[in-house]
Amino acid sequence: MATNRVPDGNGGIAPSVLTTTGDILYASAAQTPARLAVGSTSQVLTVAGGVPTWATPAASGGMTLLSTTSLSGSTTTISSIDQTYTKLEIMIVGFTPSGASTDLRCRFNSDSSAHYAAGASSGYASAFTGTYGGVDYGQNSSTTGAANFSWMQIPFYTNTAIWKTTFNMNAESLNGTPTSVNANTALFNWNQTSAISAITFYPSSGTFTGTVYIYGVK
Amino acid sequence: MDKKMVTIHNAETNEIIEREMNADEYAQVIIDEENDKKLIAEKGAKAEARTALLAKLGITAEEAQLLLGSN
Repeated sequence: MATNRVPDGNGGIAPSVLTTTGDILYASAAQTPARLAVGSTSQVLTVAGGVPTWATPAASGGMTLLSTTSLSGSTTTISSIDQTYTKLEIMIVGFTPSGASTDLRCRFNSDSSAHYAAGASSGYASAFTGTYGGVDYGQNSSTTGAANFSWMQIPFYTNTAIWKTTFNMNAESLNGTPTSVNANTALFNWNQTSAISAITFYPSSGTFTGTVYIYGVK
Repeated sequence: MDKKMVTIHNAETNEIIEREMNADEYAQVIIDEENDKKLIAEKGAKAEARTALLAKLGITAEEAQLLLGSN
């Protein structure tokens, strides 16, 4: 047996093919030995074009922050929302309207037609007569906006075959103090199949402040 | 026209535009306000009709709920 060779029936392969720690030997074609350099940390071995290769695994499950937006003025629109995720998770922190008993509303893709239907608990029927989606209701102006929090979920926001449904959970400060906080849930449906690429938030009257964080979930 | 401001945040480029509402946007605000007034009036009218009906029947709202089996 020849020395310094990986033995096989044809006399073996020169060890010098493997130049670097972690290299892998494979056949780039029939009877054609080749070196595959080691991949990077966390990469996995996969196949592309019929040969093995190292690749970074696709992200799944985790949340990626897509945008952070300050609410201001009479309306705030977040446009050009990334279309490569499966679901949007939207956190609205410190929604504070300028006046008392004000709702937080939203519209998708600037659609102000009667395409929205509010829903509540199971079995509640509602027609698509609304011209906006209700996120939070009856928020008072507050000097402690940190007590106000809304969490919206919009699954399949890019799916062009289904109408869109949102699930909203809110904690709201009733009297400008965290010692009096109301928790509520709301949902609404939008009977359009367009992918959602822009969301406009606005208070039912006056102006508002707060921060909107949009996360994408694969 | 009130001076109403809009903010547009492009999530892709992170560009933020703050400007006054244009005529179309302001017209939408007026429509929204009129719709809200209409809904409030409708709710008020329903509440008044309900109160009048309860008075006519001589029962309380709680008794009406019991009759209807609602929560």
